[in-house]
Amino acid sequence: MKNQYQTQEAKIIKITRDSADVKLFRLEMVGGSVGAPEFYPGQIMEISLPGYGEAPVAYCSSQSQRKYFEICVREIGLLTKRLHELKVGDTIGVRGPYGNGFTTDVIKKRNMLIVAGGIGMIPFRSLLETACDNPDEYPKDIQVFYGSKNKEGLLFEKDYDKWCQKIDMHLTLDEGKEGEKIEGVYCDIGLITKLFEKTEVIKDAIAIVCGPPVMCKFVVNELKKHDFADEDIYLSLERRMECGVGQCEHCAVGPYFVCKDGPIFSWDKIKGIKGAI
Amino acid sequence: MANTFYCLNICATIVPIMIKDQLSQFIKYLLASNEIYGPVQKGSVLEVEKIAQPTELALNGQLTHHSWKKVFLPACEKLFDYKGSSLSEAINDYPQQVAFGLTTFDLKALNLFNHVYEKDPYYQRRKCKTLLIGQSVAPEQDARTFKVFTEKLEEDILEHLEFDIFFEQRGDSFRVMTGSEEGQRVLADFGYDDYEHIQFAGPTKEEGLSARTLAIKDQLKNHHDPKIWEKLGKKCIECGKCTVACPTCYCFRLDDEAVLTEGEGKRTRCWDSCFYREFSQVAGGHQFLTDTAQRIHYWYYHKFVRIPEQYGLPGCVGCGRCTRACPVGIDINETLAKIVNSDPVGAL
Ligand SMILES: Cc1cc2nc3c(=O)[nH]c(=O)nc-3n(C[C@H](O)[C@H](O)[C@H](O)COP(=O)(O)OP(=O)(O)OC[C@H]3O[C@@H](n4cnc5c(N)ncnc54)[C@H](O)[C@@H]3O)c2cc1C
Ligand code: SF4
Ligand code: SF4
Ligand code: FES
Repeated sequence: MKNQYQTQEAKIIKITRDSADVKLFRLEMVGGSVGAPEFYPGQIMEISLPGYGEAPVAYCSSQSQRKYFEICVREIGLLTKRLHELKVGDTIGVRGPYGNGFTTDVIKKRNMLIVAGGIGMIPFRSLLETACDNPDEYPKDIQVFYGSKNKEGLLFEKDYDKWCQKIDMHLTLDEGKEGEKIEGVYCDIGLITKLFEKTEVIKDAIAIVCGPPVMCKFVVNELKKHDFADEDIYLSLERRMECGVGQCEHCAVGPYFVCKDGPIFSWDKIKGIKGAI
Repeated sequence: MANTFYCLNICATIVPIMIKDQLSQFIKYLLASNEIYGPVQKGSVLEVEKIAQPTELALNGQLTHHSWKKVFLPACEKLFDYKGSSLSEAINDYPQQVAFGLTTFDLKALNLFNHVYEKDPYYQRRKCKTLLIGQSVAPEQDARTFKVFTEKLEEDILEHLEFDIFFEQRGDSFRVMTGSEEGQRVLADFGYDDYEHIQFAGPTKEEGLSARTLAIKDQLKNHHDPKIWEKLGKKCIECGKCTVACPTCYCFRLDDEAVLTEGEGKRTRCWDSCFYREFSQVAGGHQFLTDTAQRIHYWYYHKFVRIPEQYGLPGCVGCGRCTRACPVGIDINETLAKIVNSDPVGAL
């Protein structure tokens, strides 16, 4: 019988340090004919380091890249610390993809505002890379608001140049020097809500938000002020996960499961659930 | 058959009966080639244990203190042996076993497990090797529960349960029913064929979930008073005993355990409890369920909202084990009455 907890081996073929505690790992499936599993941006996988357990992480590379896939991981505990010690050529286990991701066409038919705080930027890289690789499929406009504590914490700077050809990108730092340019992108100082005051927010758009819960609350308020309908606001939620397949009950939010029905939920669906964000 | 006895039941039809001696012989017969788990008297309570003698089985229609779930899903089970980053599926030894004496409550809970663990090779392998033998519940057991037996055993209950053989207590004897071909085969091999067969008609009735289950779900999801949880949160000591005793609690976590050889060990699945603080904890130490009130609400919400929505089955079978297990006297029927009768003050 098929075993849903079985993992497949993936080999690390490249490691790049992206900030003080974050590394980007390029992986290739071992033994298969293609190097990457099929996934949608926004979906997640469980990575497994036997002896250290498993951890849910987002796919971080373009959906069109079939030779390899990437994950971007912050070192924060047992498993992630061990992962950061691994070298090119080492293998890890992966299973998935899990969750809904951006599987519907809504992201291709509507303008899109992406709001990311801190490592909340990670799942969006896959979406932005996919959109840049497939401009015909993603003909609509994309605007990004990305906030980080400081300059050192910003992720994916090397990609900004490419993204900016398609994407209207705005950065803000909690602390730093006003007006500095990072990889060609103007940098504000202040909380992410400031970008809503200073920038002309994209119209007729859906908004997708990922970041710490406090940020999400403030951002939802801003979006409501800018007349975004509840069903046009999407949030990516974090919860403790064990199984990834809707069985273990660790990741429930009201009647939903982050692993199966999420991690992306429309605000419309979860706004009535106490503690959702 | 010569050794079959008959009695008149209330509606004056004649039903075949197995007497105690025969039952005892049947248990002995099964013991020859199976491990048998069943209710055994342990001090003042019954517990599900492995038996060696037919006389150990207490088939009196009483509920065991803890549920039967350990027979189908061990408290900790090895899923894989690991070496480096690769996992090899553990080939656990699943002996041919008999679960003897599951009450209708327990069989109802098994309906749910069958769905939850539908795609789980470990559960399925174990279940394929398990003969399910049910027994009717003693009438007085029913007083504190959802009064299941206002329904008719045969039409309303048994045809919606999966079992191989079922014994309905009739005084000192038992009426015998089968629910599967396997049950018929086992009885035939033993040399008994005066049973009635009940055709499994799916885990729910044609009309779906009961009105009561739907009413609780709606009330809990949309209309009840959240103060209920604050009060329960002050009482509950988060011991998790209710979750261990309950036949429908199935939360688990996955753990890795190293062995002495470098880079080798096993990945296990162990029962977990939503009453424990680490249950909702993520990296960095943040807990999404921040206090006892939220944890107990999560438990009720799982049973009475999430399970019915996810599986189309009731998440509570009304056995009352959680109430019996609770050291501080939290009574599920009282809580449900509060939920159903409380004022609509918005969702929690
Ligand atoms: C939907 C989703 C997507 C995520 N995507 C990413 C990503 O792309 N990059 C990234 O760096 N991080 C991501 N995370 C967070 C990441 O899963 C945790 O940082 C990681 O599990 C920490 O593991 P650890 O062993 O290093 O931490 P520890 O604190 O040592 O973990 C201890 C235990 O807690 C569990 N645990 C801790 N945090 C989490 C968590 N957030 N979710 C589930 N279980 C947890 C682990 O399973 C482990 O058993 C994501 C989390 C979720 C829920
Ligand atoms: S009555 Fe209590 S122990 Fe029995 S199924 Fe319901 S919740 Fe579980
Ligand atoms: S048995 Fe009672 S005290 Fe213990 S966790 Fe359950 S409700 Fe709380
Ligand atoms: S991770 Fe187990 S139910 Fe979602």
